[in-house]
Amino acid sequence: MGDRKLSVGIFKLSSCDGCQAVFFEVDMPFEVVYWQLGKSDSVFEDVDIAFVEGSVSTEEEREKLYEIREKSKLLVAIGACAVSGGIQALRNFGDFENVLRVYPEPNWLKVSEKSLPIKEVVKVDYEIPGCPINAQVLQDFINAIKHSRRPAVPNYPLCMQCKRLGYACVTDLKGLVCLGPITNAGCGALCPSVGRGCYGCFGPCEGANVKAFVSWLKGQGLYSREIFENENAYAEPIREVIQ
Amino acid sequence: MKEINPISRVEGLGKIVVKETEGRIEDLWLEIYEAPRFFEWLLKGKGMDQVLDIVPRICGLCPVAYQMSAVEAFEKILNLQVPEHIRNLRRALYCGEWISSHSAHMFLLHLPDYFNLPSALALAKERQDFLNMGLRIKEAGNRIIELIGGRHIHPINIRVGGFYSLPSWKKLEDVLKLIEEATVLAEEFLDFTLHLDFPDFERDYLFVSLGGWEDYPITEGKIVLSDGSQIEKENYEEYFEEFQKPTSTAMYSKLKDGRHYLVGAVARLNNNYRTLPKDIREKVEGILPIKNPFKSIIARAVETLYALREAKRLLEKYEGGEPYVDYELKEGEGVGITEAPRGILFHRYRINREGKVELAKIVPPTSQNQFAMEEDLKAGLKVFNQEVLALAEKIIRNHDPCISCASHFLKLVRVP
Repeated sequence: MGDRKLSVGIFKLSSCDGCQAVFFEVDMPFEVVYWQLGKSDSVFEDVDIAFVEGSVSTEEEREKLYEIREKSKLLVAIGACAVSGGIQALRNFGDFENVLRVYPEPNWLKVSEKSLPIKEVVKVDYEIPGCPINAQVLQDFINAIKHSRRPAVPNYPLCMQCKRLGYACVTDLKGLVCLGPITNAGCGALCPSVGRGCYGCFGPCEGANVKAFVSWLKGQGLYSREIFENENAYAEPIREVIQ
Repeated sequence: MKEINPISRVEGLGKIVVKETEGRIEDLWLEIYEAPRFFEWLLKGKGMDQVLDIVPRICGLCPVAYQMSAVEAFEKILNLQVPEHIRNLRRALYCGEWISSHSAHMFLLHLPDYFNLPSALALAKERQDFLNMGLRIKEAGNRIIELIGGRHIHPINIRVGGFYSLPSWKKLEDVLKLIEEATVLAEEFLDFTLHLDFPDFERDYLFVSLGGWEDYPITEGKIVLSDGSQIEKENYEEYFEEFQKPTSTAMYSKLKDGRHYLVGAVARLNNNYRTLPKDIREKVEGILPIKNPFKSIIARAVETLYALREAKRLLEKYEGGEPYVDYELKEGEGVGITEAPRGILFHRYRINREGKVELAKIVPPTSQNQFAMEEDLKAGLKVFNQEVLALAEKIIRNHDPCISCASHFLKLVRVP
């Protein structure tokens, strides 16, 4: 890439802005050319890296995402909305007519039936999961790109991180439901650290056997659908079991 | 028609539409086009503690506010009184969010406007000290939230009755040190904001906030209006109503008698400055009430300094205790209203015998300010004439709108 600084765009679809706010906490060695939240002189032009927050939940967002894909060399989905469709993807399991009935004039709504992860609309090069993403994971990702290393985003179960940090297992100790065995590490095992079970905001880890986990929960008399109705409910392996 | 789209350095997606005839600006207004996320639908059937994990996702910049308004409503339904040490920790937690959110707005979004620069990074090239100052103050706020809430964006430690666990002494000591350093900087910054040049622009707002309490209100007190009237929290819906315009995916809010109003740091300061510590009060008394929205940065600087001192006071007297109190499930309906960084945040829930949500209604501060922001634009056109375009984005940015919050609770959406 020579001496030229890499150019970056930070984009937002349907989301809460929490993931892009994490960019205020990292060292950014690249030139940010587009960022609606951070600067007024944004230019929507070709970029080396596009970070995309949010799910695709309207036709306008779909069009915008096509354009972002066209203009970026590397497209990185950041956060549970972009990776799994977000908490708003719970509507994907409901009857859309029913969802709309919250509104007196449902015909006026310009919103898609489903809230989709961006990889169901365009090709995605990397995913950084989490609700919100973790600042250290983002910094490691940026540093890897800076040094032309292949970025390694944690994709192993939270249990591994939890054990390394020396926390007592809340399932063993208290009989609590904990999604640690099937959830991506990265948050620092925050929920077990305060004595509660992980509720899955980093989404299913690689190779998560959600079906086996569900049947184990059922065997223990701990299963309820609500456990999986979180920010990553529409991630593929979870979607299958709660549909 | 011309557009300023999207409005930059604000949370969420909105635009300003300009109507021109023969090169002359005739009118301009605000359009919010952030997609709705149907929270009122998806909260139905959820247990109360799960609601406390879901509602922060409405806003990544003020998640604590959503948790605190919801937990207040739930504990009212359950008739549950939490002990003083939990009340104090919640207030300290909320101070953390004011510090974090206000410093993000002041230093990273708003301050470049006073130097006519496009971003905090551009400002840092001239005044690196401001960026360092802002980041250090924000860090103190973030660390307070982490200490008590476990994570500063979407905290994980909040439950009905208190917390899952209480902070450790070691971490608390570390955070106190950060607070002390940040307090010195916040005081310096407040003095700086008092000497900024502000455009000549005043408006006759009706200021609405919590108040009528012995201290500066965060979750306490009644709703107070700057015309002298007071409203009990549970009667909010008798006095305020939401309405819809075809141009926005967020609801507007007004008093039922037709008046629009302003919530947020300026409203809180104007309505409650008498409760501030003497030295802070004396710094600003002479310029109150603030009617110039460009001076909102002063109100945020005052509140940042106050919140740092208040968090220190509360954490210093922390003595530990039980993390939460138990309760029995009860059905019922309840209201929670607390002061989010951007103003009063209304929640109402109906809970059934199993402790599940049957109805949820939320009115965020930015919906309530939408009417006033639009009136600011129209007044701006009269005062600044054709120069208004250069200022239009700044006029909106003065109010630190949080558009993701605003657009999730619309009853009616854009007309085709």
